[in-house]
Amino acid sequence: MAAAARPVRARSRRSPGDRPFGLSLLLWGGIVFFTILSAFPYLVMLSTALKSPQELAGPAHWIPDTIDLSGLQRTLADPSIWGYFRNSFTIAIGNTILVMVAGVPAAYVLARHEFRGRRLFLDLVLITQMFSPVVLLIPLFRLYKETGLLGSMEGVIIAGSAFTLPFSIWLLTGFFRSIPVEIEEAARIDGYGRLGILFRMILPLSVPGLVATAMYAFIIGWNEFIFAVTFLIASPENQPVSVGVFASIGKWDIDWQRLMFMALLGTVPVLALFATIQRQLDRGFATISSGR
Amino acid sequence: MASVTLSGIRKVFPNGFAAIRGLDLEIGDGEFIVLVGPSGCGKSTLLRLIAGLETVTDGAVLIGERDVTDLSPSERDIAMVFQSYALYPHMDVQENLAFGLRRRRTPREVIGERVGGIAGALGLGELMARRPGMLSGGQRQRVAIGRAMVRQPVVYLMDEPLSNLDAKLRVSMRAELARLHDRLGVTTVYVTHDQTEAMTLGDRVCVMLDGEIQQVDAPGRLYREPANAFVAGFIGSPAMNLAIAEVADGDLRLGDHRLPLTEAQRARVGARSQVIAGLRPADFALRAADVAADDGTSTAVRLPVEAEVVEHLGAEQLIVFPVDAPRYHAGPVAARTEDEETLLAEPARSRFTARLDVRREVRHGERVELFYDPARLYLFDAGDGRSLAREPAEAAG
Ligand SMILES: Nc1ncnc2c1ncn2[C@@H]1O[C@H](COP(=O)(O)OP(=O)(O)OP(=O)(O)O)[C@@H](O)[C@H]1O
Ligand SMILES: [Mg+2]
Repeated sequence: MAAAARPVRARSRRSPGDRPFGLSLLLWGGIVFFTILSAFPYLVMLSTALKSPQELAGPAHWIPDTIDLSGLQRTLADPSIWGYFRNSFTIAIGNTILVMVAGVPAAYVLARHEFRGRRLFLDLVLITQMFSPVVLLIPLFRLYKETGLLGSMEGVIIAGSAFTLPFSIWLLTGFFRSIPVEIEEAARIDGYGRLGILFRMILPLSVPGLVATAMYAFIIGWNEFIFAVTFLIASPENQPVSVGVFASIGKWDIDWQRLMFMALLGTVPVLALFATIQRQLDRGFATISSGR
Repeated sequence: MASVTLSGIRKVFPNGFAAIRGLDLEIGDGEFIVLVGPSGCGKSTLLRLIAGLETVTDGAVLIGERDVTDLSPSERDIAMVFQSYALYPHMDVQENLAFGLRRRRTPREVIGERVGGIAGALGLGELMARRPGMLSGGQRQRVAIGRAMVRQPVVYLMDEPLSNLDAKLRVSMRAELARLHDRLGVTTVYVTHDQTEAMTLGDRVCVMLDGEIQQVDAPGRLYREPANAFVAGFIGSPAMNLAIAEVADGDLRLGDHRLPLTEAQRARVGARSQVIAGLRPADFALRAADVAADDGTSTAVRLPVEAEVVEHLGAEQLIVFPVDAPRYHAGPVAARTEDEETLLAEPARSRFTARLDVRREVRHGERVELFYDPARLYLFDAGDGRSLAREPAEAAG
């Protein structure tokens, strides 16, 4: 039976070969173009990182004459770099936890409870995204100074997650809404309350969505810069990689190699994360983009 | 097991829509009651009110002696089968069945025993480790029923549980449900669109329209003695032919046709100048002898008609013929605008259907004579649609 069914399936599925040649060319041209475009900064970083200072001082060119790894050695030999990475992790994880803990219940309520002003609330949540964090820097700085949060990673996490939360709530609301209400009702009849349903139905059923949202929060936290550079300026021991890169900029000269290596190393954890859970992510975004 | 009592139920949704408009219903212990009615009449809403998934605006819900109006679904000791089955997609069949019991702190051995028993009874044994996504429609449906059964509730609520199945499976599952009910005898409230389901499964059938009950009766009685023209037109397939007839000289005029009334019918019509006349398609015949009353008190009425449409169904044939009398619409027109038949036909004309045997095949466009027994003529008040058959009986009794 399976053997008989196979040829039919093969015929009905459109293989890439079915596409007109011109369209294929256009498509692939587009893919290549955008890949190069987004890879460009990284290529520049890599090229710069591998050039010796003497070569860097000369005229600009792409391929280094000699591969100079002294920059990498210098970077890795500096013990403070591990501190930067640890701090980045702390901030990214802290951001993720805070966003999920606050975002999941909020999104669940918004997804499932019809109340007056629900749509307005959702719109307002999104509107906060229109403001740049910069406008809040000075008031927050003063507030933190008063409360002793200045110079601490907690302060950066709190401010950062406040700005990560709105979009996360939107993402999660979309995921939760895509779960049929009848499943919850069946669980209610089976004897489960709000929390039981949240933990035994909603969360297990929206794992792809949770992963996608957590990932988003993690990356925002990892790339945290504005709040970190402002609040942690006087506390180098708490600075994340994004700020630590700046230590390469001395008063009189810039260690370009170190700067570029750190920037490159800083992208590695995010890349690794993407690679491991890319399929979850695909499923996750397919759900919300299906518009339910 | 328990009875279910609904008294003075009203449900107004937050948007102001009154889905249930004052409804009383007494469902006996162990009874299988079927809710039918046109789409949007409030069947699902009523079921959800009994389940506690919606709260009543007014009135009370009693299960057994217990007033459950303010109790949550889980405290009502009911189980529900959803039209979409609503199985838990991330759990296998075993877990789906056991989920409700686990919550109720049932001992592990008891859970295993009951789940095993139900799985055996429903033929789910080999599917226990599969998730709902890997089951066919019929298998999912059985799991949904099984999930309701393991809990051993006092009432089953089923919202069109068979509607997602293909015709053949529906027939066998229908028989399955009937057997289950015979064996377990649990009070069941069952919503369906399917007349055959309603008539074969129900101890009683409750016909609803626009949030109100039109009639609750045993299937046979519902068919023979509809309380009003809406029920008459709703129950039976093909539907009863209904049109507005003028009363003239003690008989009825239906377009060009003269329909004689019996003495009893004349008495019921009284001084009315208009009534709704109803004739079941199956009550027509091509020969007078086929419709003669058993006791010979009435003589067959002859009706010359032109067969506009003829459908041969093998063992029988349906002919459709025009009648020059206004169509009858049951209930508020708004409820029926979805009915495309209504939209297509001009209101001043009706089309009647006759279901005939095939001893003589009628041809398209042929003029034929149909016969019916005047005692089988249904009469309803032209204003409120109430059956005239009930009035004298009530007056006499
Ligand atoms: N949450 C709600 N808010 C407002 N109106 C509602 C709500 N739920 C249902 N209704 C309306 O109440 C009426 C009854 O709905 P219900 O689902 O009970 O109909 P039904 O008889 O089950 O129909 P169907 O046969 O199509 O399933 C419908 O007109 C519906 O639009
Ligand atoms: Mg319904």
